[in-house]
Amino acid sequence: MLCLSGILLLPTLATFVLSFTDWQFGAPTLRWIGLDNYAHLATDRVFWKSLSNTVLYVALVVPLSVGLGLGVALLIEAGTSGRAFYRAAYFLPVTATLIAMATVWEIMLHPSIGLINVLIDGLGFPKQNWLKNPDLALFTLAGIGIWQALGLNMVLLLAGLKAIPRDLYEAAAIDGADGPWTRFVTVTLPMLGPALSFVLIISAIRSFQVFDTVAVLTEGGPNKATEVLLYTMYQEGFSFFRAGYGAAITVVFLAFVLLLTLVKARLAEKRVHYS
Amino acid sequence: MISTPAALLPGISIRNVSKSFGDSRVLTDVSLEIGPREFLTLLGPSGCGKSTLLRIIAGLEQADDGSIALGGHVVDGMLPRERDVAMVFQSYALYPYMTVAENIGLPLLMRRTRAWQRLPLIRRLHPVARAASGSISRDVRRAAEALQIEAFLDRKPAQLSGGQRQRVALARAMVRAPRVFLMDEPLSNLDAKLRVAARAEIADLHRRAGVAFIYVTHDQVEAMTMSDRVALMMAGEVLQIGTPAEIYDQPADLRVAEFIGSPKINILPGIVRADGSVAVPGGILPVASGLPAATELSVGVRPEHCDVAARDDSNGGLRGTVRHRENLGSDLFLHVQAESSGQILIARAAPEIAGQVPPGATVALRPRSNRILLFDQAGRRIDVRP
Repeated sequence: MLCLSGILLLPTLATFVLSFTDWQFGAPTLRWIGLDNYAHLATDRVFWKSLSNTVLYVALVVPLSVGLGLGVALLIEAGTSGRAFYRAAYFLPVTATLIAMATVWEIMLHPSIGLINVLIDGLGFPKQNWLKNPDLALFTLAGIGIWQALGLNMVLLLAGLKAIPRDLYEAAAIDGADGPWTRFVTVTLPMLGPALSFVLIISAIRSFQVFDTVAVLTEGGPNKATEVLLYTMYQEGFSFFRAGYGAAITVVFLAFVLLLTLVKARLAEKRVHYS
Repeated sequence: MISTPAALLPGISIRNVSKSFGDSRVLTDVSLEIGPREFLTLLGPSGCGKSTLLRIIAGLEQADDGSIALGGHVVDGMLPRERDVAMVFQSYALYPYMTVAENIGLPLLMRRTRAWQRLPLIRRLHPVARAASGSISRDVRRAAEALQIEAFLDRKPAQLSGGQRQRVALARAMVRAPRVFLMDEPLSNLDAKLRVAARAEIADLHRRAGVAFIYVTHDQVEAMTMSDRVALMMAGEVLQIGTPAEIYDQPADLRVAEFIGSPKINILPGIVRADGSVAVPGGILPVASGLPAATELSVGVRPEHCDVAARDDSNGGLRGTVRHRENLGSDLFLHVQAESSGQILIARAAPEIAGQVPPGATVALRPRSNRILLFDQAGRRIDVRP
């Protein structure tokens, strides 16, 4: 309990307290300013841009990485050969350091010599400036986010699929639920429910925390097109040294994560009959 | 109900079915004819292929060779759904996220509605889908009432006891009046007391359903108490098929005799004498084997066919020493070590004589000559004329 409060609760509490002050990073004094930081947030266009970007990023990455992860898991589970290979191949991005991988992506996405543009050019489509085009940059980052999250989601869902008793599929076959779609909605999806809700929430929390690709590839640009909550917080706190303001952003961020965690806890309660 | 003589209805015929998994042969040339209203039990030790045979009948596995016909129709290559069979699984295989009513109703839902009619909103609004769901809930209730589980229709399987889950599995099987019931060790997860009640219930269900039951078990008591006929399987082959009494009294094979009966049958090495009687270690059995002298045999004597004389009244019989007594109240089983060979023989005696045969006492065992079973060197039973 002491450890828990030392590691988790105290820093959270400190952040919460700081968000009501005007403390500058490294400054010897601080002043109590009440809700001024939050009032400022409400009118800060960068913050709103950052929040809406983050929500859009989450809304893209969660359904696609979970949906594709489920698709890949189903294909691997149904396949007969090369299971271990596909599992490892899709899981690779999870084990790789994202900062290093971001650099690889940067080269792949290079406007003139990048592999992706070379391929697109070869297919007869116009080359794109993936990271510098304000209309494309966030989607490009979401693509990298999906690529990275896919593997973990796939592995978790694969474990969930393996835990479904074969008996249930056989009973369903005898009961007449034997087409691929019917079998999926009658047995697979409901039995995968607990794993799926876990994967959804974990993906949501993780994609809410998007930071490294933004920091390495776009630095929030171009023109705030990829500004996300954690990056804004980082800039306010550690580039502009406005620690109190950064703390307020952190509190907003924590509120979102807490909300997701509560949703997860509620879902877990609803699934008691699965035991 | 129109009563057609059962003999005229086509039942289930299994012809020359073989199956291997990789290198291991699970079924070898199995053939069975099952009557349209018969209760047939596939009995055998684990790994004998009985469950595989059941799964092949259900269509969950494909046979490598041979053919299966249900009700006169060859069903090879058909999906389980098309075979019109119902199956009760050892684990019951209930859908944990559905209520009891939804579990029982699923086979009807799948047959009476189309996929688009089962979509969430349409299920409630479309007239055809609503009519189907009305008829389904009526049939579900009827099946639930037959098994006395109508009080649990809204519960989830996890909220039920083992016995109640087993009834739900039975209700799901019987709700749609299939052509044949397949049961894969449905009682093995119940405790001993419930199992006795469930045996009577399944036998009753069979009488009411009026269709063929194929029941897989390794438990000889279940096989003996419920079946019309028993097919005893070992190592992928049917060794004998017959009524429980035939299997018990006239086992075709030494392995059948050893598998059926508890405690196990006593097997003694024997040799035919010049007058046709059989010599075993420690005595001579007065049977007219009619076999040439010096033929080597295995002699089987069931514990209840072995009279026990408490004191050695030197009137023949196999002498031995009581090593262990098992008094079940209704029966007393004596484990007797034969004097001549040291082999342990088991004999059933009346519990009243328990006091006269303490461990260490000398007794004489006298097999009843008309119940002695003789087997040749290959294990086949030899008919003995009394």
